[in-house]
Amino acid sequence: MRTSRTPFIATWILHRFAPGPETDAIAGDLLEQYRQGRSRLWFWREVAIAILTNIWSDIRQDSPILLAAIAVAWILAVVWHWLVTPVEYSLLVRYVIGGQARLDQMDWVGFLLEAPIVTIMGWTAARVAGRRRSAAVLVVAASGLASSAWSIWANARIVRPVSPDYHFSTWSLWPIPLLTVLVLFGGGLLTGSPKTSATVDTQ
Amino acid sequence: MDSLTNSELLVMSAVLRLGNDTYGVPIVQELERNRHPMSVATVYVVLGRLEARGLVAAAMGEATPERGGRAKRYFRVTAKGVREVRALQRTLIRLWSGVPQLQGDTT
Repeated sequence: MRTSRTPFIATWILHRFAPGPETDAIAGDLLEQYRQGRSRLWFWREVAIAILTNIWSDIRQDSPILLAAIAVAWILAVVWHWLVTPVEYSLLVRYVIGGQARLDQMDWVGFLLEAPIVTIMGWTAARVAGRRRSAAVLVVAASGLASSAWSIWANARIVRPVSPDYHFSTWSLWPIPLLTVLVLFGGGLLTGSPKTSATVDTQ
Repeated sequence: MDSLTNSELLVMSAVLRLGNDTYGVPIVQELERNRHPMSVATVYVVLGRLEARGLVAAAMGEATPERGGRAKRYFRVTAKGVREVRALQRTLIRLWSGVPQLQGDTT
């Protein structure tokens, strides 16, 4: 029998992102099999499947409320960007094109302008979705990631022709994981106790 | 009445083979042994559907140290569940009998 430490983070993620009446039993079954010799990779794969299965099950059972939660969150985001984008562009023109700041410093401005709305998006999705909150917040976070990836690709297409010395840097992606965490935080998936009676793993 | 899906039939058959009052780990291992692996979460989703239809009954069991202090959830096939599996078994046997492609060992 395996005596190494249990995958604590994976178990924590399972309880946070796939809450339900069966979560404790699923976590117990996974731990039992892990201690019988299953790999850590197997454990993580099972947790990922459990989260996706939970989302899919919520979509099947309550798709109108989930769609409403996601739609309200994104409508708020669109309104926010409609208000904030002119401010961001005026700062860009004034300081970056004016030579007083570097382009990468605008990442901070962008992050500070995005942080409140992504937190509000998570919070709103959770409130509208009610007991389906984890699925709603996770879908909002995933769609936020997809939208960030698209906007980076679109911005690069705009900037590259007018700025030949432009080089894409992976470091410029730093706001994305932080913004994703803020969506989850706003949706209450990272704070408080999970809905199920998660037992503290003593190992 | 909704007919049993493939996964529902597989999970119910595994529970029946293992005898009543079995839980997630033996069910997953039994399915693997029979070359139909399923994730633990999928097995629970299927069992949840079967429970809602009254084909399977569930009860909480004891918590053990190797499970990090988490309780087992035991499952057994109800009398209604057994009737449903038998009805499907009879239908399949009738449909398959005399089909040349299904005769003999195909493994």
